[in-house]
Amino acid sequence: MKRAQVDLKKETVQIETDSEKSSGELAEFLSIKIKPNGYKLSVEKEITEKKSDDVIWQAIPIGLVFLVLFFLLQKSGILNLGIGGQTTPATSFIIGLIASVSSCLAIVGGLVLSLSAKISQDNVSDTKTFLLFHAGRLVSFAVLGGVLGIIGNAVGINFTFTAILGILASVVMLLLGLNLVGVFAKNKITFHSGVFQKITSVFRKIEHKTFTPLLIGLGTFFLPCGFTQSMQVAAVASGSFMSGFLIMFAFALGTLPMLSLLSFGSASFARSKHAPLFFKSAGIVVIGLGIFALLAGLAGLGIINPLFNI
Amino acid sequence: MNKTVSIIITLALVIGIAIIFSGGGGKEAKQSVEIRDGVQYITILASGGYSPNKTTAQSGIPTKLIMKTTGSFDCSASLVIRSIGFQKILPQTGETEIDLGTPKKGEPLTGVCGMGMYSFTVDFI
Repeated sequence: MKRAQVDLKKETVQIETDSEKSSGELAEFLSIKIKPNGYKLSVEKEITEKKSDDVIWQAIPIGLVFLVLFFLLQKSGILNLGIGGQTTPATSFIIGLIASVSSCLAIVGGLVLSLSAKISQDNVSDTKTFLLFHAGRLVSFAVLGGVLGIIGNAVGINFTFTAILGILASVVMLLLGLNLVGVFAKNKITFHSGVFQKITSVFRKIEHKTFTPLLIGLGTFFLPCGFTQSMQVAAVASGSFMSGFLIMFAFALGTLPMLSLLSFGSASFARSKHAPLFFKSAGIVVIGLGIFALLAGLAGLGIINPLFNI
Repeated sequence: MNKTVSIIITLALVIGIAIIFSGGGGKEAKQSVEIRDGVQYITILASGGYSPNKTTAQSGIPTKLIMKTTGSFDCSASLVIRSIGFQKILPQTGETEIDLGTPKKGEPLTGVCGMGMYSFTVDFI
């Protein structure tokens, strides 16, 4: 190779070489070499960029409509049914159903949606991953509920711990949301050892493991959610392994329809022709929920003043 | 979709979210502050948020906060009041009495729910 000149504005590279190869072969050969750094060479300019620009203008309003509907539902007060009396597995199932569309959806649902969409986008064996996540969630809720029933002490209910976990979850949501929308893909210069690339590669690695979805399912037990915490208290008060087990299992079962709709819904959208629109809309929704959860979490920790009452 | 149409719809939706967040619900409950035997009792209902979420009370007299719950499973049942180091999951139905000591003038009390999405303040004058 004699000379190479890069024009960032036009996104072109001029290469002078005395190689025998055709320009197509050369581009392919060089692409392999620079792929780890996040670059790609081709003879014809790729026009995918232009197309995705149009999609984002549809995705923003669609995502916002879902956010408006979600916050309106919270504000409406429909979800405050006021279930009185003793907590039985039957009532905790109903509370689970309510919780799955309540403000808890902002954290747990947002996390599930962002992870599911990302996993589907990366073409991992998503069905298996989702099944493992939901199984991990059901089993760990039931077992931990049983444990709470025996030890009679609410270990999961350390406010500061759950709030920090919630903030962590909202940061993950924001990063994945921005990634789904395609903010990071637009950068023409990639950061060779940039923090984000590292996060992405770590994420790529862990999303292939069997253990991870199980662990995330278990982690949702500790995420800040008033309903989950109330049920944990009920499990503590129940006083036996079996009743604590049943209360938390029924609660997790109640949240299952909504959460599995989010994860398996993403998978089927990801395979449809509307996939680009879905990923970007989901990204907008996740960013919105992430900001909401982050601000709420910071207020819960007393770092900032509560900004809203929703 | 046309870019301009999209921007207009987006703006409208953002304004909609702002209205939802800034309150506008008009769900203001009546304040409940009463003094019995030299003790000031402030009652706040915790169920799907706190009502009233703004209360004005007197400073300089022993004060107790009564948190009422009626079948509250949502976030408002997990109450945190940082200034007095209070954090507890309130019983699903019942009343919880919290001793505030003798509040000083101009030191408002702020309570938030565990996730931080509901809050209330009590101003002492």
